[in-house]
Amino acid sequence: MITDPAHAIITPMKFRLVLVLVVVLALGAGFWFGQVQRANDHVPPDTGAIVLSAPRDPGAFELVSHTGAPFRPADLQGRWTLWFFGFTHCPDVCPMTLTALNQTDQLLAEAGAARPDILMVSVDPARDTPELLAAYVPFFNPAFTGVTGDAGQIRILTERLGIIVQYVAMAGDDYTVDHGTSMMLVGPDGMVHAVLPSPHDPQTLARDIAVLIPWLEKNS
Amino acid sequence: MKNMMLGLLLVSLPLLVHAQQPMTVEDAWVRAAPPGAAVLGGYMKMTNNTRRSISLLQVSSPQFERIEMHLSSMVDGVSRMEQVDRITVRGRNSVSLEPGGLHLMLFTPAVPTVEGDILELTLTFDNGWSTELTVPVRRSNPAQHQHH
Repeated sequence: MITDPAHAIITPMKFRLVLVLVVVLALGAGFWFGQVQRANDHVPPDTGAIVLSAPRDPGAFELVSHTGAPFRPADLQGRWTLWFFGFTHCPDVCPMTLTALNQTDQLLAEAGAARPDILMVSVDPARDTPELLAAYVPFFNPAFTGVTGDAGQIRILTERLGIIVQYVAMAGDDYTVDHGTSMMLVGPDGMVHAVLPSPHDPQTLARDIAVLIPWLEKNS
Repeated sequence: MKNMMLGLLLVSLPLLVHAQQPMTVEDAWVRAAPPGAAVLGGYMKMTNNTRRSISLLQVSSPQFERIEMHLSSMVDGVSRMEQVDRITVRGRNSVSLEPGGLHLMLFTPAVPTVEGDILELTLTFDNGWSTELTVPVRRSNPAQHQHH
């Protein structure tokens, strides 16, 4: 067939048809890839965190920071904060977490990344007075803030954020507090944008936060 | 024959020395806590040099009101802590007390303890053996430091 010269000749008419076809296909492909690209922009970066497509509102609360200053939703405006839940009568996991958070903060500083303000919200407000938190939390990093307050307010806040808190009796009249270990990344709008589940390894935390904050700022 | 007996005795000497020390306790440290902290965490590695299980029953220190043994665990993202009444080390095995797992809980320091302090702990085991340790207070796990 191809040896037949009559069929091998491409007429100007045929050439125009092929050209139109190529252009249409190219436009179609470009449009399709563009769509995929746009969809990918809305897929959160691959981290260990759960990015909330609908940011969660911590609701109204009136707590107190370790300096004695009130801690209300308005105090979250205009800055990124990273919340973790703990208590000072916790000799093992809480100091370990605070130490890991200090390392995370240093890694973010070294990388020149955005650094959220780090808060420890007490799940043991009965024992964790602002004075005790003032001696405890900044020990791990002078910039860290301890938050405590009325037990009912803490309960409402932790319930809203899905942080399990359970008081468990120990020997004598002592007790311990079993508590959820997820951290909350709270945006300058005061909303929870991402949940960071345990385990909390400083390298992973720093890498995730360094990627998440710019992405969330661009996409929310 | 006499030489062989002497040889056997020499070979068995290290075993006899070991037999006097049923447990080896190493890498003990207490985590420095902020001023005013009511409880501190303590860690160590225990190696049982005998063939039988040995359990740690009691830990005491003149520098603390009391010391308990606890186990931290993570269940479905919830951090839990429970008291244990003993820590058993099987024969010819080791158990490590580490952050996030088994640990000592040291209650109410007699005086504030700071990084660099040396604490005295007495460990008592179920075979009647007890040992005294001098334990440094540090800000973080010495084993982790070696990795950096």
